[in-house]
Amino acid sequence: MDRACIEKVTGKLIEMQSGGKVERLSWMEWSLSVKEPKDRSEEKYQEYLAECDALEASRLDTLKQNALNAGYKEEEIEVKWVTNEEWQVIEVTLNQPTPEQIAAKEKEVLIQAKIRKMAEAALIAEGKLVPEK
Amino acid sequence: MAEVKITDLVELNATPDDADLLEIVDVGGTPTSKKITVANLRGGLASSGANLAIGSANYKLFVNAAGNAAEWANGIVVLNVTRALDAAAGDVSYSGVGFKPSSAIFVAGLSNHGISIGMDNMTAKGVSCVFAAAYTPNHNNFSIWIANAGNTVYQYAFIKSFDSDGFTLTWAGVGSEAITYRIRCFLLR
Repeated sequence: MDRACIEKVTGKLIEMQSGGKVERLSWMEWSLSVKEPKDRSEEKYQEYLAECDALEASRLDTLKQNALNAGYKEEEIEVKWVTNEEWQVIEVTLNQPTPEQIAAKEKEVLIQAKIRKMAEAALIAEGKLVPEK
Repeated sequence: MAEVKITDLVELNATPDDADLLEIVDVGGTPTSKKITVANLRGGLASSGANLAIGSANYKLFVNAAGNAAEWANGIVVLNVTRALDAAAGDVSYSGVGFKPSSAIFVAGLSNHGISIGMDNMTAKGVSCVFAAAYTPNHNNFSIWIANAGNTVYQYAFIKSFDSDGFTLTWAGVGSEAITYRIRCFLLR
């Protein structure tokens, strides 16, 4: 799971950071990792699980704080966990040309075609180019 | 205390019990003694980390975050993040590393735009880049540099701090464009 911060209105990605989920140890794995036998209690295990929850929440909150620091308002953004599949859907929307960029590109293509046509006509008139049949 | 062979010390005739592994007694004048106890030994081993169970294969031994015990860990993490060329300047925190890094290598790339490789340990830093318009800047004062194809709109950053679960970059730059780079961060504990 990765973390993503999205601008609600536009759906624009503000930031992504990978990972952040904590792999929780099973009771058996956790108890083997505890040195002092007196600390191997259900209460301590629940404390460990609560620490994992808090760490994950803190990691998600990192993106929220970054957005707030960048000038966004809390109600303008959505911070969430995303799967690989969800991230791929977001990623394909990145770096797409804007309508203005697309229009400028089309205009440039038309201009280049017009210039080529005029140049060919001039060369044909000068006898330096044989017109295509 | 007069010189005495250790084998002549009557205090060593008895096998040391579980509490006192070795006791050296100065019997001359006012008798005094020094002991090595089980508690001494356990404390010493704990502080040196020698009593740790073996870690996973190829793990390395680190001092824990609190600085009071040893622990096995990988100590290397790759974090993938994004940075948009229209994002505001300022500090940005990155978390999820799992330890406080000491060094970072950054690799940023975007098709048809450029690639940038930088590194920073807060003592020395530098970044080298190649952009599509054949502009190849090198900067000694930054950790990473991203730009549009002509490097006319760009952002750069350096590490402000290494944090308990990641790091903080201070970003600045020139211009704004809706371009988002992926940045790979290779972090070393």
